[in-house]
Amino acid sequence: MREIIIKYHPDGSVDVEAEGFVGGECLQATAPFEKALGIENPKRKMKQEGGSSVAARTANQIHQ
Amino acid sequence: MSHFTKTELPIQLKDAAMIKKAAQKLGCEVLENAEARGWRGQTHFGEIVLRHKNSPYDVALIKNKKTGAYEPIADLYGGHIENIFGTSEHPYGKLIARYGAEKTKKLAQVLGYAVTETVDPKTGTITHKVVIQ
Repeated sequence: MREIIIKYHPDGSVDVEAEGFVGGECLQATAPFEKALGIENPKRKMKQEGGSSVAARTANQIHQ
Repeated sequence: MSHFTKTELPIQLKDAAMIKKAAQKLGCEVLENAEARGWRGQTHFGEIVLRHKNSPYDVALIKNKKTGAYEPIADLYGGHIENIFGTSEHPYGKLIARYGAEKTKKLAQVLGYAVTETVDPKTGTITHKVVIQ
């Protein structure tokens, strides 16, 4: 199953993770959500899990 | 001494309707083109003003014409704002989290994806699982 998991933390940080995608599909899948949220320059980690790629991103920089 | 503080956000609040929806879910009254209350009668204009019965101060949001994002300004003195809208780590964290969650739901609906929401009662973290067909 292909899923996007988005976690909104009460400290203002956001994590976006894609599971069950192949190759760069995960980036395409999460792009509209990132765009809608206005997340710019996210930190990004790519990893391989059981043949599928997972992209984990975070926008947890707090500017004050 | 107290003052209104402008705070940059980790995600941009560009959708006025979702800001209002998020604020209402936090129990706020939403005012338009109004004055936000601050310390000792000070006020600050907001295109959107968020008022909560448990806070003597309000949050004013003004649209940044360059970025298109609404920027919050409030008197953070006394912790009233962070108690309602955020945490000690970010004064608007809860508002941002709820805004993001509302945006996800709306976008998933438009794209035809199913979304489920869970809220961790201990941490307050909102998790959305979006199933891609």
